[in-house]
Amino acid sequence: MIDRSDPCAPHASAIDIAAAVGAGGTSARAVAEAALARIDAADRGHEGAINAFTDITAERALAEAAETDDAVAAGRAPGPLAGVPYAVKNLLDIAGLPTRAGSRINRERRPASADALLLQRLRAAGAVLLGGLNMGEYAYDFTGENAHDGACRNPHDTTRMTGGSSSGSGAAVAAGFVPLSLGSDTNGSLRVPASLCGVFSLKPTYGRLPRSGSFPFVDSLDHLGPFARSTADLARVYDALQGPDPADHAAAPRAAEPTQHALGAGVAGLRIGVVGGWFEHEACETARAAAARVAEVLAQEAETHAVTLDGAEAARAAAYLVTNAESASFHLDRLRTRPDDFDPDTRDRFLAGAMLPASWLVRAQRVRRWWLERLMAVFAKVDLLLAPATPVPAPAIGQKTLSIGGREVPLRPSLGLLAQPFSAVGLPVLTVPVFDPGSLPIGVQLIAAPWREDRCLAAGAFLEARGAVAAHPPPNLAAPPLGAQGR
Amino acid sequence: MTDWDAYIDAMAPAMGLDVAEHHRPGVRQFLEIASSMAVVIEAVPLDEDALALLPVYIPPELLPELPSEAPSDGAARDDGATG
Repeated sequence: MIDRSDPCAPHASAIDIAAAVGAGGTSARAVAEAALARIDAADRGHEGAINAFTDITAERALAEAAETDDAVAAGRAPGPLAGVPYAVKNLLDIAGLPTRAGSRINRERRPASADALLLQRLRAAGAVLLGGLNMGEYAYDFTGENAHDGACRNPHDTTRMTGGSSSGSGAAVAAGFVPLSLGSDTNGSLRVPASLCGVFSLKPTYGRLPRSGSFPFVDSLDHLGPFARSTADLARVYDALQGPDPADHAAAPRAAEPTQHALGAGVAGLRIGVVGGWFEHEACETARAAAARVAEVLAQEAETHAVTLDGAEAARAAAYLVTNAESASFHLDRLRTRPDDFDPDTRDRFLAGAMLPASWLVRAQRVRRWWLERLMAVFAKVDLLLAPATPVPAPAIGQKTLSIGGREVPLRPSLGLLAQPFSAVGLPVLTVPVFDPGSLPIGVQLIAAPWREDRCLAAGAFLEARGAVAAHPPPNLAAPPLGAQGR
Repeated sequence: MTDWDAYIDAMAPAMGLDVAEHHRPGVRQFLEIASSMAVVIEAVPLDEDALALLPVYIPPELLPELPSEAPSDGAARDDGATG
């Protein structure tokens, strides 16, 4: 049995940690030391290690924890995330480290001179950074494999993929190393790892969270967002991250719109569209069953009905082409001068993207506009959509193809195909984990109209309260490593 | 049927890229995938008399220049183009 009441335990919630640290019941230092001990025991150095972290900032973590402990001792407000350990995908700037973005090439860069804006906001909220996390090279990945840093392993079955590209961000939260992490999502990179690792993630509306101080992938589609093990923790960290920033040209000039107060709003009276058609066809039985289970529980209080989003396949195709063309253009000089320093699994896709006809890209941007208009018409009739997050649970590490809808398709570009139609037009999506303890997780997407993250989170909290979704700890992590508990 | 090897032979030099033999099978595969995506978006019934792209932007207002403050790292590098 997992002890969730001990703030130093592996699956303690961020909210419980912040409450204990803020009340002086435990120290931020003790929480940080316990988390660092867990990472040391399970993340590296032995066969089957998770390999979520690429950089561990232990010295910095203890210094930040000491600041928080000093604030508590002095009677100052330590922040809503007081002493909460977290880690970030290594495309976010961490002062003093090169921002590797999963690549070999970038680790030759000068160390970042300052933290990314979202890290600054989390520090202001009292959170404690433990390090940088593994990711697919330049975020062009759905698997969690990385030729330079090694594959990140799924805590529920270490022979299986975490999903990507925010591989370490999903794995670190699932493994109980940290209760919170940050990742990015261009086509599904917050949602695929959440689905495969059995945790929650929130991909906010495009432009909601500033990307200042993060390494780009696809300007038209890049989002940042958090992972957590509950909707309450997710709302807590999301509220701390919000707010505009003129340094990111995509950041909307909107004030923060807090969500925590709305978590108990429930779903009564909401109209929920259960997406079928292409989404059902492209999902395996496990994924379809997870979506059906969520729909059934929502229907206890909400009005649900079937929706067919004709055009989703085209939206996914448009996102694919925009991604391929924009990212390849961004990396063109690196592709010209040092192609063999790329991960072979991303290099060939970038090279192809550098040679696409411009007409395909323009057509893709027209299709995105067309798709946005169609979805806005759908949201005039529904408040939320729900769909599977991935077509399958975690494939084996090294697997190259997927069997979907009776076809054998390349795995790398396909694992996120159910996520792409929604990020293609920047909609907010909460991914919720739907699985029984001891089985492989899979996620379901709850999608809202732009700027309505509150609705996604309220529905997620409702599902959690009804026991339909939960981030169950991996069975092999039920007993935490020696020395990591009860400090 | 597109001859993707001929396409690579023509486009790579035009883009200043050297597609080595060990890159070629992967590049060819991903060009084929991109081509299949292009077929899907070509089938979308767009209004042929309209050109409306999603990333089109609204030009921002010119904000009044703020009173100068103590120089920061950023200000020291400012090339004056922001005014």
